[in-house]
Amino acid sequence: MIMEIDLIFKIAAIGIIVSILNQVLSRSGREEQATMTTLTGLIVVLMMVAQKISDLFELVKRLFDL
Amino acid sequence: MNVFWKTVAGILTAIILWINLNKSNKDSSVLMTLAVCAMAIMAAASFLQPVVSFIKKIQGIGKLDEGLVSVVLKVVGVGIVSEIASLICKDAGNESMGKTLQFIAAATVLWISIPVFEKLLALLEKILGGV
Repeated sequence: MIMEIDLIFKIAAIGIIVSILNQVLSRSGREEQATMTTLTGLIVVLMMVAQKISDLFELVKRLFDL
Repeated sequence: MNVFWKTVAGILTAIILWINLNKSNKDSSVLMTLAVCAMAIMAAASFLQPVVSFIKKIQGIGKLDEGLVSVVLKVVGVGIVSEIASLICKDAGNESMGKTLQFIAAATVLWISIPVFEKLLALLEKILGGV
């Protein structure tokens, strides 16, 4: 439950890498691949965050009898 | 207290990374906000757990109606989650979703509170001698 700082760094790293790749691909004229790269990065981060949100909802349900 | 310091350190670390991420990749910055807020609330919940069990202990000692205390706890839970979620929607730039979320939370709270209103009504009827 404690703040997982490595998850924060993972999200930041993926975000920065995806934006760099996006720049490189779009500068080299591969717009579709740039979009696909951004989408892939988004999905990867979304799956990591979704697990956290699910844990949060379980915890709040248990704590407040919801 | 270790949880508190780790949470504060995590949020400060995240905000610095968020500034950079927000410039280049807004999607991931919103997801980072979501992840950090979720972890911070879970950390806060670890402090709230003894408080909730203390409230239940007081309820047992004071012979309060279990339903009422449970309603209060539920309302607090709905309030916390919906407030944070609507703020994240605002951060992401979609205020209408945030407001809709607050509206759903208000409706849920009213729905949860119906038993309390019914008890109040019954009490009033008893006091006023069945008007």
